Amino acid sequence: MKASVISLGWHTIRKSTYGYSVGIAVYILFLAWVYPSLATNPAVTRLLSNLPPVLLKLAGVSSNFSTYTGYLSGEFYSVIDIWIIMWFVTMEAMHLVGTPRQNHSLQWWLSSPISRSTWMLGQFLALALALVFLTGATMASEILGAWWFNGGHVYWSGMIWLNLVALFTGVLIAGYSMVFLAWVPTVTLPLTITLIFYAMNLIGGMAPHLGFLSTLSIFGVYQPSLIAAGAVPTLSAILAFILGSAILAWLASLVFARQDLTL
Amino acid sequence: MRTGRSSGIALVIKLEHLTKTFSDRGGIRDITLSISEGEVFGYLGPNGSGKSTTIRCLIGLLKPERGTVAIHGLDPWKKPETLHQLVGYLPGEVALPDNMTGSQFLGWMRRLREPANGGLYAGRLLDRFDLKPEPMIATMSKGTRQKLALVAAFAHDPPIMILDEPTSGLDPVMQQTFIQWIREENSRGKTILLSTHQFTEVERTCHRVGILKQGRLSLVERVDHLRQTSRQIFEVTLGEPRDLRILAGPYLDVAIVNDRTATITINGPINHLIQQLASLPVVSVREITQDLEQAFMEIYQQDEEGPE
Repeated sequence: MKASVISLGWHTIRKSTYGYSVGIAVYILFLAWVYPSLATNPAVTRLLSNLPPVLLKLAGVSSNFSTYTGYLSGEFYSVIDIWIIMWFVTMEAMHLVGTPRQNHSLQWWLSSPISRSTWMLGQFLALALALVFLTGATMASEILGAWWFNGGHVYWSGMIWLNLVALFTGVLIAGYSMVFLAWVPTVTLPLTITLIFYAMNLIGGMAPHLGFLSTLSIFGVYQPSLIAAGAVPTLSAILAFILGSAILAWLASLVFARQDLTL
Repeated sequence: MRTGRSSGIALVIKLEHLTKTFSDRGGIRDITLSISEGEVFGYLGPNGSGKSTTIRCLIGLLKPERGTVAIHGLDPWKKPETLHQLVGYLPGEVALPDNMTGSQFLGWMRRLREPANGGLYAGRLLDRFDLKPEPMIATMSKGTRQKLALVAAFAHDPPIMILDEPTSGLDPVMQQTFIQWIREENSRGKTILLSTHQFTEVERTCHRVGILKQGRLSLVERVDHLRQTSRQIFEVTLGEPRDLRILAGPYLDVAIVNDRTATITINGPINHLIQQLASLPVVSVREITQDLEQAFMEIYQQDEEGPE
């Protein structure tokens, strides 16, 4: 694997990665800023505890304001973060693989002495690198928010596991996005599959008799409140996601190496 | 198909019964062709005749349906990374990444091609084509993009150059520069495959041409031989006025210029003309040379008239 292939991929998506990171940081710092006033306001807690749990889940609002990490798991990680990851990964996978195929600029990179498999794996690794950057920005903002506004109280274990699960969920999405984009260079397929997974998890969570849908969804493992509280085992899920991502990346390179490219 | 023999010894590019078709019935069928080391080969044909498809198969972007493709014995579909160290490819449709400057683009191409170091040669090409690559590619004119593409494609100084309509978008001065550059690269021993619509380019650079029609190779011939064997046209002038229309026949087409002069096109052996002129007071016979474009058009017309 040539490092320059990954570097070129990173160059392609670095600006949007920085943009997303700044957005995440601003949002988390804002949440951290208002946390002390929300946590000490009994009216807010009372109001939230009176609302139906399903409604709270849909809105991504948590009634657990007792800890800073628990608060962020509900207000940021449960909906906003996963939506950012879903959108970021599918769109940037498109920028890396789909757009150069559509506008034919891929012909230049493929006319250099690198194999198509190397190219595809390089783009996958660049996207994984961007996700690591986003995760780092998320964690740094969370720590900074705790330090500035909340007396430095961070539940380290919960924060780290939560971000690792989010990161590897993103890497898994990157894996199947690359497979689809290696086949057809449009964002429709990966985005649709991702939304279907998300809907399955949502429906499974709301209707207990359809709980199996959550189990089948890649987002079934992603339960921020429980992960932050250390209530669910996450290591096995992370290992499964890593294995799944590696298989998907390999499959993407295989599909891409066999495609006719009318560039 | 008429074929000409390649003059060199070592075959660099070899296509055998290459077939690649598409659902719209376009593509190429049963192309057999070889290009020798140090040869400049012109690949001619109208739009949609299959020139770019052939080149994409050569580069390894398309997988042949049938037949084989080899550059220095390497299959471009199976070993593109090895082959691309030897080949520089200028695509027909120049689509450059718009999100970077020309300098960045050249820098990325150099990094991807490492360890081949094209820095020095790339600098020479930039000077040669008077290109300043600092601006964003998105703001460059079509001609500047074409020059940047030329520099990027051949910055690693490859021994084999494949160019698909290389002068599209270049001004006449740059076209001349390009032709001169191709001749110089060939004199350095490079093997060049040139697909083009510009007959001047072919006449001034190529040793042989292949003419493609509806996906089939209609003819492969040396450029000088092609000119010689195309229909011969003579201007005949007599010492006294005569009606030269009497010469017209199955082998001779006569176009009267004035009462003493006519243009005669021979559709067969030259003997027919000599026999006819023997009894006439001929003052001068001048051959009107045809350029490659006329020869090309005639070949196309012959193919249209003849059976497929």
